[in-house]
Amino acid sequence: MPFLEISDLVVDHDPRTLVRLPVRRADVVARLRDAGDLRGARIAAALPCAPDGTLDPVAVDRRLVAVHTELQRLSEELRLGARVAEVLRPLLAALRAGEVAGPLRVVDVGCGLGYLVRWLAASGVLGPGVDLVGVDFNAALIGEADRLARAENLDCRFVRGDAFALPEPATVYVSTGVLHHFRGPALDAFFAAQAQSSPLATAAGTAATPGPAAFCHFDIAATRLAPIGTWIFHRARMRDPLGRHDGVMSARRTHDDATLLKAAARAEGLVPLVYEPRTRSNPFCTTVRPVLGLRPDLVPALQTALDRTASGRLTGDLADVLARPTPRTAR
Amino acid sequence: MNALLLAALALIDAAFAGFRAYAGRDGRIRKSGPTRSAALRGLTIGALALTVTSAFTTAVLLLGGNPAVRYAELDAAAGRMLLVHAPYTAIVAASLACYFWGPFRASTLAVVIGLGPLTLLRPLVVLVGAVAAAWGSLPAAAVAVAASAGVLLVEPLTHRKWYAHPV
Ligand SMILES: C[S@@+](CC[C@H](N)C(=O)[O-])C[C@H]1O[C@@H](n2cnc3c(N)ncnc32)[C@H](O)[C@@H]1O
Repeated sequence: MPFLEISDLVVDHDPRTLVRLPVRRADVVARLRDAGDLRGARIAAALPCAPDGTLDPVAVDRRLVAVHTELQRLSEELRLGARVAEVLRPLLAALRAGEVAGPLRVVDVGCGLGYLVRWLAASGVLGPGVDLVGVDFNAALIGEADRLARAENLDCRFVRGDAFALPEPATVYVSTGVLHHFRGPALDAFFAAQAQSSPLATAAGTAATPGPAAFCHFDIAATRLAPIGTWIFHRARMRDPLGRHDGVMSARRTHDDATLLKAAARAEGLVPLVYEPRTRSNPFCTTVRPVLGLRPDLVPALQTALDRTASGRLTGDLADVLARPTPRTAR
Repeated sequence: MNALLLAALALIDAAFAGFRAYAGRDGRIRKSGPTRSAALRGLTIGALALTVTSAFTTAVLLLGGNPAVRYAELDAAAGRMLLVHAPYTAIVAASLACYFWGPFRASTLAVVIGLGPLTLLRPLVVLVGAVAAAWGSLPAAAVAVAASAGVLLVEPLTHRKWYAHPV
């Protein structure tokens, strides 16, 4: 039985032109019902729609912005910005220590309201000379991200675009809470698209090879506790039933490390790794963790930097990851 | 004394309720000012609820027979309510301390097994506190219901008045 998120179903675009396509409410309800998700079907059935049965795009956008604003509260409480910075800072330091000319660019793929990018801009933790960009295919979320950034005068920008045809080249691609949206071949394609993205133009000219120097994608850790923990947390912190529903579904369908490592290996030229707690940790302490892809020359530098500063370590040993007990087999 | 301790707890709780009523409604990054004003708004609603509860308690105290006997009855009920609220308060305080001052992983633990579940448990704790206070005393039951309803109403009222829509 597939786990579906309502917010994935209520907005549709032409992937090439990004023109918004009408969505029939009955289709959304039917898909949820077919997946055995009666609660989700009830939530979708209550969404406003036009007489012809298509969902009201303005109402859907308003609802999604409100849900994402609530979602940001969870990111704030979990200190998501600081968690990402714990890995990004040494990564950028390693890049700066190498021969990377010109500014560095961090692109957040599927940025939603751009919390991560705006937090990085507001906190300044990455230092000067880092171009911060958020990309999402949802126009309403990108518009709100941009409005919020301007309201606080933050040095970052937001661009509408598809994760599979990235409009922005990057030194490092990042994301939070996005990986579980892509399954099977789409997950492979997500990583492959980054490796094939156009090279970043720098002061010294355009980089010779396509793709970023690295990627670092955070998502809910597939621990045994994730579904119940997510239920408690969303119940306690979110009001909108749609947000609660989608939050719980996210945890149910989050990928385990083995699946992520295998898919990340599709990004040619980058070494796939996961970042995990240094010591055997109890699942209460692990809420999100990243899968990384690094240009080979960056691996030792980042390894050393993380050894000095961070609480986690990098591992890319698939045999080791596969041998670990995980709550579900690799999908 | 018991009543004063409960009143102080209710006011602290109201400030947190104000914060929760606002949380998730403001997408900005820097918001310590709005957070403070949300806590103040919760505190204001909490103080109003407390005023109503105090007036009601005074009426219960003065209108039924011997005030000294009634006072002792209500004070004993407040003591029973405190017995329920005190451990909860201590666990919340410990979780908050872990969250704000502990190392990164401890703060995650504080959120996952502390602050999140404790928010969910809060109405239940208030209910158990009310039942404990009401045990065996009709006047205490009336006051406990009024006080507990006041405590539980702060968050929804603050939310509805100021934070019904994203700010
Ligand atoms: C669960 S949200 C996470 C948002 C944000 N990163 C956060 O942590 O709050 C997933 C986001 O991915 C975006 N998304 C999904 N598929 C996408 C695609 N193919 N291209 C670009 N964005 C996509 C959605 O619009 C949504 O904003």
